[in-house]
Amino acid sequence: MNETAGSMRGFPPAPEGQVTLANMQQAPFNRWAFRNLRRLLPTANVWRGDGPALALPSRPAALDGIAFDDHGGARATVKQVLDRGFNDGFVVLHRGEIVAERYGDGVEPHEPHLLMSVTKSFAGTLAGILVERGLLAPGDPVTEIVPEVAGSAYDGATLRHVLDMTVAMDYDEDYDNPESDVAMLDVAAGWRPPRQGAPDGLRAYIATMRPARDGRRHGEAFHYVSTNTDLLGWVLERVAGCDFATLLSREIWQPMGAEFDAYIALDRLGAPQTDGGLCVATRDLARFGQLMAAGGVANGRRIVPQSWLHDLRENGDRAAWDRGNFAEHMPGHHYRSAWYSDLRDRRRPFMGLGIHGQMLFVDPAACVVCALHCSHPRPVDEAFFEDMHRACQAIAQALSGDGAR
Amino acid sequence: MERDETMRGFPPPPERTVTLENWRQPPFNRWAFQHVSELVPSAPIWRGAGPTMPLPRAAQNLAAIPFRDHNGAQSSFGAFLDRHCSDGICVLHRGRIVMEHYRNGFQAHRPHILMSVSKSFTALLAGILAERGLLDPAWPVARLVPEVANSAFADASLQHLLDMTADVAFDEDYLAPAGAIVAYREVSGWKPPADPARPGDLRSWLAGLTGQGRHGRAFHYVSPCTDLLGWALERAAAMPYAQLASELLWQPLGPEFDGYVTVDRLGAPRAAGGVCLALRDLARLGQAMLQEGQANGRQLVPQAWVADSRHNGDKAAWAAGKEAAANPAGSYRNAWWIMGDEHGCYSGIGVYGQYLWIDPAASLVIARFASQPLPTDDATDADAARCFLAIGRALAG
Repeated sequence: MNETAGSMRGFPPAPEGQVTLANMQQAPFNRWAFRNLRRLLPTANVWRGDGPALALPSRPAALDGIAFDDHGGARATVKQVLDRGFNDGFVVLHRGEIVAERYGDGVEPHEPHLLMSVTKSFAGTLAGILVERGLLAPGDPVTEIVPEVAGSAYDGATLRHVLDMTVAMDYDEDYDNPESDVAMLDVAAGWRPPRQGAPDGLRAYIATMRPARDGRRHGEAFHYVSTNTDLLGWVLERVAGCDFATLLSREIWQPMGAEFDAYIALDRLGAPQTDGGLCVATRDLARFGQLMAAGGVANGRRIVPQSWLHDLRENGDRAAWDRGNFAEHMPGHHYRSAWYSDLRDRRRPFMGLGIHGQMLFVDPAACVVCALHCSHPRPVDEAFFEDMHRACQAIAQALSGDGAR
Repeated sequence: MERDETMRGFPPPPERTVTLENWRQPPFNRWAFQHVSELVPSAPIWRGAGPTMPLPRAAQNLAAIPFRDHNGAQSSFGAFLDRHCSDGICVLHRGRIVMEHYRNGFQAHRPHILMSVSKSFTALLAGILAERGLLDPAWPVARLVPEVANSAFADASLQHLLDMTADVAFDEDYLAPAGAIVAYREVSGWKPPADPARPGDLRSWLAGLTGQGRHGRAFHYVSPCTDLLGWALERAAAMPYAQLASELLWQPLGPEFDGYVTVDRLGAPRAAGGVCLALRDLARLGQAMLQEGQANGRQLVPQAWVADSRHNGDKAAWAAGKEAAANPAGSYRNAWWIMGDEHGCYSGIGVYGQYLWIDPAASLVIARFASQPLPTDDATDADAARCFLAIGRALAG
C-alpha cells in the first residue's frame, strides 16, 4: 500500500486523509489533488470537440533499461527514475507512435492531471496563434491591452517581455514560503484558504505587481514570475473576446484531436489560472507535444504557426537567461514564449516544465515526445528534474539511433 | 432579442458577474446552470470509451401542438418554450429525435444542471445496486450510514428516502432568506459559508436533522433525503458516487459526453440536485426508461425497478402530502413523479424548469432544461405538465 492510499478514501474521508486547499500542494495529499483538482476548485471544461482523436498507434519499445549519467554522475536507468514513486503518468511517442506508457498506482489514463507551469507553454502557444491572426503583436505594450495593470510593474512592458519572463519586477517566487508573493498568488486564485487583505481574484492580484528595485529594465534578465502568464491569459481573452477554456478548445484541443476533455482552474470571479491550472490526460499532453514536434501540424492541418515555433526555438535571449534566476541550476538554456530550449543538446529539444515534476519534452530532430505527470513531494527538486531531463534525452538518443549528444 | 450580457467581458462588470453568491438567481442562473463546474467543485461522471447510443433524427414541427393552460386558455408547445426560459429541449419519439434546440447560449456539449431530476438519476443507481444485492430498499438507512442513527433518519428505510416519506423537520422553502435550507446550501458548497472558519460539510449536516419518527405516512418533499440516499449508495458500493454513476449507469448507457456532480469540500455529492448532463444524454436516459431499463441491448436498470417506480407509488401517503391538492391522481415513487394520467406519464422534475418527461403510451421522451426566474411556480409547473401530456396525446395519434 502506498503512503497516499488514504487520501480522500471513505465517505467521509478520515480527518487525516482529507485533502483541502490548505494541504493540496503538500505530500502525500498532492498525489490525489493533482488528478482531482476539479473536486477542490471551480474549473472550466476544455472540450475536445466531436471529431476523432488523433490516433496514437502502439509500438512498445524497451525503454526501461536505457541508461544515462544522473545528476551526480552515477549510472541510472529510465526505470529507476520512474520507480522513485513520484510518477503519475508517463507517455513516450516516437514518430507519432506510443513506445511507452505507464501510470502510477490508481491513476487512470483518462484522468486529467494538473500540469502546473506546463500550462504556460499552452498559453504561449495560443499567443502565437493569435499573433498569426493579427490580433496581437509581440511588441504590443501590455498596458494598452489590459489598462487595469497600468501603474504596476507592467508599465512599459511588452507582450514579448511577458512571454519570455523578462519583466523587471520585484517578486518572490518561493514555493516553500507561505508569505511569498507566489503564495499570495495562490490565495488570490483560490488555491489556498482565504486570507485577510489578499486581492480579490487573480486579475486584481496581477495589478499589484511591483517594479524592480534594482534598476533592472524590462528585457534584460530572465526572472521567473508566474503572474506574467496569468496576465498573458488575460491578454488572450481580451483580444480573442473569448474565455481561455473555449479559446484553447477551439484553437488547439479540437483541431489537434485530443482524446479527452481537459479543464482549467478558475478563481471565484471566473479568471483562469493560466500560469498553472490546466489539467490534461497524459496521452493528450503527449499529443500536444507531437503537434509541436511535427512543426505545428496535426491531422494535416496547421494549428501552430511555423514561424512561431521557429522563433521559440531560435530566438531566445541567452544573455537574459544567463543573468536570470534559473541559470545556476539550468545552465545553457533559454526561455522563449513559455518554452525552455536546451542549447547544450545539439538536437535542441524544447520543454514545458512545471513544479512537482511535470514535464513535456519535445525533440523534433529525434521525433520523440516525452510527457510526464508527477506528484513529487517537493515543488522544486533540481536533482530529480535533472534526472528526468537526462532520462528524456537518453530516450531520444536511443530511439533516434543518434549516438552523439 | 436583447443580448445577454451576463459574464461578458474579461472581467465582466461586477453587476454582470456570476458568483457563488448569486448563481441561482435570475438573470445569473441562465449562465450559471450551463457552467456549474465554474462555480462549484465537481466530480466527473465519465462516459467511458465505448460507443455512443445512436439517436436517429426524424425532425417534426411540434411547436404548433396546442394545449389548454392552467387558466383554460389556448396555448402551444412553441409558446410554452418561448415564455418559460427554455435553455434546451430534446424530444424523442419512438427513439428518434423529432425536435432539438438550444437557446440562451446553451450548447449541445455542455452539461446543464438537472436540479432535482438528479434525484431520479440517483434512485436508478439504487435500483441497480439493489439488483446486485448490495442493498435492499427495506433496509434501515442507518444500516449503511450509522452516523444518522440518532437523527430524523433513525428508523427510516431506504424506501422512505426514495419515496420522500421520511419524517424530517425540514421546510423546503427555496426562497427562505435564512434557516435550514440556507445552511443546506452552505454545507453543500453551493453558497459561501456564513462563517468561513466553520464551513461545515453535507454529510455531518445530514446527520444532524431531526424529526418525529413517523415515517411512511405522508409524502413530504425533503431534498436532503436524496443526498442521504447518495451517501448510502457510496457506502453500499464502497465507491464515490461519481464513479458509481459512471460505472453502473453512464458508461453502459452510451452517452456522448461526460457528466458531473457537484461535491462539497469533503467530496460528498449533491445527489439530490447537483448532477449536470448534456441535453441529448438526458434524453438517452429517458429512452432507456421508456425501454423498461434497457439500452444498447442490455438491461441497465432492472425492469422490475422501472415497473415498481411507475406503478407502486403510495397513494395514501400522497393523499396525506401537500402536493396532492395540485394533482390528486399523482404519486411519487423512487424519485419519479407519477402523473396519474391515462398515458402513464412520469417525470423527473427539477426547480427552475428541469424535466425528464416519459410518456410510455406515446413512446415519447422530453428532456428539457430551463432557467426560469423562480424555483417553483405553480402555474408554470402545471402548464409544463399539461403541455407535455398534450404532445404525447398528439403524437400517440
